[in-house]
Amino acid sequence: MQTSGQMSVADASALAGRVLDEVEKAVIGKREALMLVLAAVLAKGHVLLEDFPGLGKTLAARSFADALGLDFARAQFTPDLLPADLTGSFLYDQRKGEFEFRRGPLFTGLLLADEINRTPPKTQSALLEAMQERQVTVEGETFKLPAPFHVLATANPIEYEGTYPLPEAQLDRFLLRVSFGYPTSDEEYGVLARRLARRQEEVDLDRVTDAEGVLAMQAAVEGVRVDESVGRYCVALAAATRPHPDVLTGSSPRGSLGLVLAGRAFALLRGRDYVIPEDVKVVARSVLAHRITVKPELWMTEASGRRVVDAVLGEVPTPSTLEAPGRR
Amino acid sequence: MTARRATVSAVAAVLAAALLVILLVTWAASIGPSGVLRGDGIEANRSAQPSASLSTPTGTERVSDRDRVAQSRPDGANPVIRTIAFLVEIATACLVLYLLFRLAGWLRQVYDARRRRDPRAEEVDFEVIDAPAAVAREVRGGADEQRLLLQTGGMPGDAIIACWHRFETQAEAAGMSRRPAETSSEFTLRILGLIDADRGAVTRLGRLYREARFSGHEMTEADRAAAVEALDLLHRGLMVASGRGRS
Repeated sequence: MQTSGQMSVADASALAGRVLDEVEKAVIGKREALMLVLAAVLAKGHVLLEDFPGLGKTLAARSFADALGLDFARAQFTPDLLPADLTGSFLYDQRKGEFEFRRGPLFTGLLLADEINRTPPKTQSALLEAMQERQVTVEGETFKLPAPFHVLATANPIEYEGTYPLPEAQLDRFLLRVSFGYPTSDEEYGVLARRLARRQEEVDLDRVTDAEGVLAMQAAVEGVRVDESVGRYCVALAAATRPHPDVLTGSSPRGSLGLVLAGRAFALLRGRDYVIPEDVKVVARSVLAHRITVKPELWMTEASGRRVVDAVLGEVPTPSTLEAPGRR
Repeated sequence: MTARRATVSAVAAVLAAALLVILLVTWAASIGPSGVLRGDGIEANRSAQPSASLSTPTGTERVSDRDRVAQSRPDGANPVIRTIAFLVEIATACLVLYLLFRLAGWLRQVYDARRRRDPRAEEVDFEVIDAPAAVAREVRGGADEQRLLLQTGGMPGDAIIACWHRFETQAEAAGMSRRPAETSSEFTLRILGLIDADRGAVTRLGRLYREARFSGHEMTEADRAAAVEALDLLHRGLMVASGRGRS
C-alpha cells in the first residue's frame, strides 16, 4: 500500500494504474470507463453513473472505495428520504443532558448515491450542496466533510415513472457523467468465469492506497501542465455548444473548466505531466453532454447532448501544429 | 411498434383530429346557428322564407316568430349574424394557415436536424486511390531536407516540432490536407499509417513532438538525437518498402 505526502506524476500514474488493475478484477472489460471515473476522483470531482440496471455501477463504486482505501457509505435515494437522513441530525443524549450531532452517510470518503433521481428535489439539493461546498450546515452549525469526499451517484435512464430528474443546474455539479454500457460477449463470459472460479459472490479486492494516497495523487494532478492553446481549445469546445442549432442551453463555463480538470487527470493516468488535445477529446463527451439541454421540439429526433458534443468535436479547430510565435 | 413510430402516429392523430375540428367549425360558421341546431339545412330554410311572410297577413305574433327564424339565417336576413360568421371563417382560415406555417417550420427543423446527423449528407472527404503512394513519394523525396531541419533547426524542441510539421506539408503536397478538427497527431499518425511507416518510430517521434509542443519541458540534445534516430528508422522502412515495390 502506497501513501505519500508528495508524489511525482510518474508515481501517481503508476499508483492509479494499480488502482485500475484492482478495480478491473471486479468490473471486467470497462477500463476506459473506469479510467474516466478515476480521472474524476483525481480531479476532485463527482461522477454521475447513468446506465441500465445490472451493468456494474454499484460494484464499480464499491470496488473503487476498496482499492482507494476510502470509507464507503451507500445511501439509497427513495421518495421518502429526507435531507437529515443524509446530513445527520442533533439527537438528545439523556445521560449527558445535551444535544449531540449524529453524522449521516455524507460523512464518508466515497458516497454511493444510488438512484439519485428517485428522491425529491429537497433531498437532492442537500446532497448537491454538500458536493459543492464540501460541508453541511445543520441547525446553524457547520460541519466540514472529510477529505477526500467524492460522490458516485447512479441514475437509471429508463423507468422515469415516479422520478425527479435532476435539473440542469444540478447536473452541472457533476464533473463527469459516465456510462459503462453492455459488455461484449467475451467480457460477459469473463464475468461468469471469474464468478465460478472464486466460488463466492463477493469480490475481495486489495487496498492499493488510502485517503492520504488519494490526496497525494490529487496534488500531483495539480502539477499537470495545460498549454494555453489546449486551454483555449477547451473554451472553444464549450462555447461551440451554445449556438448549435439543436441546443436550447449550451454548456456553462463550468464545462470548459471541467474539460481542463478532467483532461489533466486523464493525462496523469496516461503517465504524462502535460495535457494534449487528445486527452480533452477523450473526456469531452463525459464532461459536456450532461450540461447541454436540447431543444424540446426535437424530442422526436435523435438529438441529444452526446450528439451535440460529437458534432462540436468534429467542427472546432484543434490547436495548431506549430506553437504560436514568441511563446517559447 | 417502436417508440419512434408510436410518437409519429400520435402526432399524426392529433393533427388529423385538429383538422377535423377546424373543418367542423368552418362548416358550422358557414351555415349559421339555426342550421346547426335544427338540422333543417340551408335549402329548407330558404324555401320556407317567402311563405312565412306572405301567408300570415293578420297573425303578428306568428309573423314575428318566423321573422326571428329568418333573421337568424346566414343568407342575408340578419347582417349581424352574417358578419360574425364571416369573421369566424376568416379567423379559422388564419388559424389553419398559422398552424400549417408552424407545422412546416417544425418539419423543416426536424429535417435539418436529421440532415446534420446524416453522414451521407455531409461533405465527403475523398481520398484519391493512389494517395498513399503519393504521400510515400513525398515523404521519401523530402527525407534529407527533413533530417537536416531536425538536426539544425534551432533549439531541440523547435526542431522536433518543425520536423513533425514537415509530415503535414508533405501530405498536403500529396493532396491530403488536415481537417481543422483533427489534431496534428491524429492527422500525421493517419497518413503515416496509410504508408505503413514503422509504428515504433512513428510512436516515438509523435511522443517527442507532443512533449515538445505541449509540455513546456526543456527538450535536450538527447531528445533531438532520439528524434533523428526515429526519423531515420521511419525513412529506411519507406525506402525498403519502395525498393520492394519496384522489384
